[in-house]
Amino acid sequence: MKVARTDFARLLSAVAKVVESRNTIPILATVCLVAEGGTLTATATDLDIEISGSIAAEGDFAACLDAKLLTGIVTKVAGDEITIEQGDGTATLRAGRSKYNLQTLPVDDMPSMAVDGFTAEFTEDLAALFAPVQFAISTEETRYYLNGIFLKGAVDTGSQAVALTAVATDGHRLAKHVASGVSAFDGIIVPRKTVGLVPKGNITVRLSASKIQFVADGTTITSKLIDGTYPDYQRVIPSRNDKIVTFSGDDMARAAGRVSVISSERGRAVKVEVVNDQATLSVNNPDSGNASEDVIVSYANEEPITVGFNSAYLGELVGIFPPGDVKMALSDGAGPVLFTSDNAPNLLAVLMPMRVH
Amino acid sequence: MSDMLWRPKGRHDLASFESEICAHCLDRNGEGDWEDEFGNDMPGQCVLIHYAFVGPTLQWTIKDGKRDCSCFVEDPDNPARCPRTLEMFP
Repeated sequence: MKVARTDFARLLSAVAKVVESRNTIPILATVCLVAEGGTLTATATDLDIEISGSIAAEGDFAACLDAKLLTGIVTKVAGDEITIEQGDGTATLRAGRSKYNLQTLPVDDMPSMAVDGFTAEFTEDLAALFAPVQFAISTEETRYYLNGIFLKGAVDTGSQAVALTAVATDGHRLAKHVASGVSAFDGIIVPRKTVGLVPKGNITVRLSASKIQFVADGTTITSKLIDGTYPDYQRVIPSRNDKIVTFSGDDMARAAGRVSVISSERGRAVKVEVVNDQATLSVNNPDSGNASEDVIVSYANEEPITVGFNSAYLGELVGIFPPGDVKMALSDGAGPVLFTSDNAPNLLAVLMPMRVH
Repeated sequence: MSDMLWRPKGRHDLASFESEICAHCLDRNGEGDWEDEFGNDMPGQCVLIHYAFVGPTLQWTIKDGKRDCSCFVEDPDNPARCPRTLEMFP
């Protein structure tokens, strides 16, 4: 088999993303190469996600080679072309003046994921839809159904337009991003690892009850979905919070980061006291001291309000909005707090307060 | 008032403490991996874990009703779940 080195390197880097650095099953550390009819198809899987892609090639070949080793070789060797000859349990790779003898595994050993039964298909920039909500994906293994992004295509009863909604939450923070869609489908949960593999730009998305598939630039990514029931996130999005505080997201995030330096314990609490057009952020650590910083805000309500947040949560959450003003809607300082921005009308976030002494 | 000391009830209790707190601590690997006198690679570990069942560890306390470690330094790349933020889905 003969292939262009740059094309082969690009194909391997796209496919080998799914290969875990440590594998107890040897075949999962390999990439399956099958060349026939002028096309080389490379496939790799971790049993939950399968990535495959194709490039032009001359000759025939069929074997599985260690993915990390092959990727390393192909990115380092000189020459424009790579030749791989198949032996008995081995493969000989030649490029420029280099020659490598590599062990192989049979292609029949590579697990294959059934990729049929898709009931919905649409084109969307899913990476852009997922980007601002990704931070809120839970890492708790006990609540596995939160370890991904909830994606749903629902028809708006008023406008009859389809809205594509992405939601992520870890039970402390929640983010929801909406885009216009083309087809309605029941809610699915896309696993965190799959979210990280979604190609940028417009891609073709196919859905079934148990799988999702992305097709872009000759690469196909098929992933299992999380089999679970996503919590009723709508009920935690507050709709009657009437105390609106508007501030520069950048100023607030930086101030929270600065005052929280005083504390190193779990759950660095920052107390936010809003009076008139000023928010005072303060952190008190009995072991090391205290810190405070004032942030200029816009607050029309005459009633002062105090709320406590985990400073890391606050900084990360306001950072998902585009540069500019962020609106924080509160009720009484003990309920969920809603964050929105006029610069991102399709994006909202909810942050739970924390107990501050 | 000083915090009450916490001591693991058994191995499962210690494992739960390690996954909840130690796993998110910058000092979880102690002074790093080391080689023992037989040339074996030994994983680094926080020194407090060695004394878990030996006697009361003054750094392990019950603070605000929750287990805590006064030596904890949060790993910014792997922050612990906040113990004091209210839950959305209790």
